[in-house]
Amino acid sequence: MSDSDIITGIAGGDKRTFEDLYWRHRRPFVSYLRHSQGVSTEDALDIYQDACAALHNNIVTGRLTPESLEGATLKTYLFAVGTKILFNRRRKKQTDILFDTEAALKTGETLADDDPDHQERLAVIRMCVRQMKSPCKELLSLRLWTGLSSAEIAARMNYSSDRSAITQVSKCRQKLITYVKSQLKGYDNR
Amino acid sequence: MTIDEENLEEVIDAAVRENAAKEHLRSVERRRKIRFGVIPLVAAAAVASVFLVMDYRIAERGYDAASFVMRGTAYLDRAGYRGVEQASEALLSAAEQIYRGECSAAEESLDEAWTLTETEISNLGNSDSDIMRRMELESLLEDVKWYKAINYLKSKRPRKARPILQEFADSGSVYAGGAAGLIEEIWSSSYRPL
Repeated sequence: MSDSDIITGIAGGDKRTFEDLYWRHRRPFVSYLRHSQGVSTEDALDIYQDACAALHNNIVTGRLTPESLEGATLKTYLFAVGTKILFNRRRKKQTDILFDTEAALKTGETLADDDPDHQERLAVIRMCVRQMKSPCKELLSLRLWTGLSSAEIAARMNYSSDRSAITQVSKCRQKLITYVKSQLKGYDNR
Repeated sequence: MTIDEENLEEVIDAAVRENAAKEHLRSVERRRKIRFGVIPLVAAAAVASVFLVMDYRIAERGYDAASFVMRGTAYLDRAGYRGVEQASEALLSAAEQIYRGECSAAEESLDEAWTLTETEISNLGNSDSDIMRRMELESLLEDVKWYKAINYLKSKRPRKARPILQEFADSGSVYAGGAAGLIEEIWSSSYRPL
């Protein structure tokens, strides 16, 4: 399966293709971080999962397309994203590392993403997402990750109608946004 | 991408997607761990069951062989060994108990015969007569040992019998041939009764 097929598959919501991509580069990635950066296997795996999740998000939002790869491979992209995540984690711990800027730029991110303040704000948002409780956690995942329609969500969550599903998803999303804003406000007022 | 009021919702959606994607990958890892954990477990269970079946067959063969060996017990010479009548009597009792399948009682009788004989040997000196006597009593110990092995087989504990039989088979004892025959009959997979 070519990189182009993989991107098309993931963009179309095919989870199997995403898993195939995950297994294809898992071992080389973990080995690379272990041997070249001295990262433990557990941490390398965690970073790889973050990189895959970021890659998935970039594909479904249309930021990463076969064309935007510009001749690079998904493996290179994945490794660059992973290295960047490692860099940000280490910077958070105020540890100096060698960083491949050129590879990072290929990921399509801007330098603003490396801004410590930006990273801190992102961390706050991610923490808010992780703190989400049921059923909002399931509802937003079904909508944004699984990509189910309102009718499918209603059937899965035993709601009486599509309308109820839409209302519930909307309520949960608004609740999360309000919570994130309050947390970011707290962060800004520090 | 910077985070501001305009794109906050987009960033939150991305965070939800990334969080769900990571949870999905973790579950994929867990499934793999379970799958790879189950395979060796099944293999180990299969190997263990093969060994259990083999052990069961060996124990059954040992029991049959011991019963065959003990067929002549009723005709045992009750005269016994001179001077150690009590030990001889214990040995004969043990043989009869093995024949009847009273293995625990036989074990006690054999222990008694062994202790009595060893005590008698420890009291012997270095005179010619004592040396001759020691040789005689050592052959009694050999008898006790042989019956111990047979008792283990009869009580379906072939693992305990094996080293004793092997020791006999490797020695110049009168039981060497019998022990080698039993080992072949019980443990050799190619053995076919006549």
